[in-house]
Amino acid sequence: MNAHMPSDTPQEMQDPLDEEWVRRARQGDHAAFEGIVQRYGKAIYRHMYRMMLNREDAEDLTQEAFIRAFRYVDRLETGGSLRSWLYTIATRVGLNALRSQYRRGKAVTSSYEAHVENAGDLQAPGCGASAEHAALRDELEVAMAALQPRAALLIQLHHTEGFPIREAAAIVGMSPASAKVALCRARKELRERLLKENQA
Amino acid sequence: MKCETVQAWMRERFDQDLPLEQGFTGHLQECAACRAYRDRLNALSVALTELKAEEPSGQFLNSLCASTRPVPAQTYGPWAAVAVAFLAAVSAIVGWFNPLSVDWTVALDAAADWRAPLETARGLFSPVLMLLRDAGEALAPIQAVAPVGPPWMFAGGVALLAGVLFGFNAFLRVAGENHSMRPTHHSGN
Repeated sequence: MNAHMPSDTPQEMQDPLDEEWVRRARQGDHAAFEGIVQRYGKAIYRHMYRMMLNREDAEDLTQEAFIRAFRYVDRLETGGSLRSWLYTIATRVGLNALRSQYRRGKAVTSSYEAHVENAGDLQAPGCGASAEHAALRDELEVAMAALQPRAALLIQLHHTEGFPIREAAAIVGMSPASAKVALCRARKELRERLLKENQA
Repeated sequence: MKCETVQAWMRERFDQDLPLEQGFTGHLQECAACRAYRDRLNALSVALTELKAEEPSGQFLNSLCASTRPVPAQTYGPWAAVAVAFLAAVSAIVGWFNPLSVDWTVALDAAADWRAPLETARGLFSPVLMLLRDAGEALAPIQAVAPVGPPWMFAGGVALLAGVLFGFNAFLRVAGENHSMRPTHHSGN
């Protein structure tokens, strides 16, 4: 995989703790690396899992993303957001892996099927929700699998992870205007599938 | 007011990620079907914020920390080792021909015959060979104890050996670095 490192940093302001960790990481302080891993490791893993839909790939690619991030930590602009930067690297690593799987002809759909089968066991916020809401979430998992990868990523980054559209667009490598259009189309597609409006 | 108009407006608002509570309030208070439709769209908006993801295994973060441990900065690259080994080997080979007799006139005169390339190379390497000779003379006491040939051969041999060891050491370090940076698999729970 040859994902190039993002030289620009999305617009989110740097968290003071992150700033301190980045400063120390640039000096080779491994405790700072560990702090970054402890803070963002699980989030990046979940992001990667939503892209790859299997544990082994998600773990390997999360590891690869962090190795790249630490190797190129000097390229993170001073004051830039570490969180956005990590998501950007992870997204590029994940998209490259998906592209590579597609070229090799690996059946991505089988991963989706396994993921959907396990969906009931997976953790999501608001576990005490009604059965109807839980069913909607399960259906949503299936519908997400049918979206284009970048559209699904935009949904995840903007709605699930809470990134502003401009930042989500930068992470996925799109202009904000294109991201808005893609997000609108993706929401429409999900609405039509889940509310069964396409047959109306 | 027709429900279709209200629902089309809500669909438009949903697709553009805009709130659904800012219009047609009078109609929505009276129409149960449109209220139900609005609630379904709102439920979908909430579900989008709650996409599921598997949590990593318990040891994952620890192994992630270990795997991202930085490798100490390299003070010289593998190409430096290759260059030294190559230089030492060429010096030893060229030095086989007596370096003390080399000068540019001889080298150019000899360019016409079959030894021309070798002679030319010998001319080019003469400064190195002079150094080797000097080093060999400096090592003469050792040679006296353990005679291994002319001084320049001894110096060339030492340089060649140093180059090989230097290159092998660099190879081991690079191989070790690549091994430590390779992603490892983690057992799932």
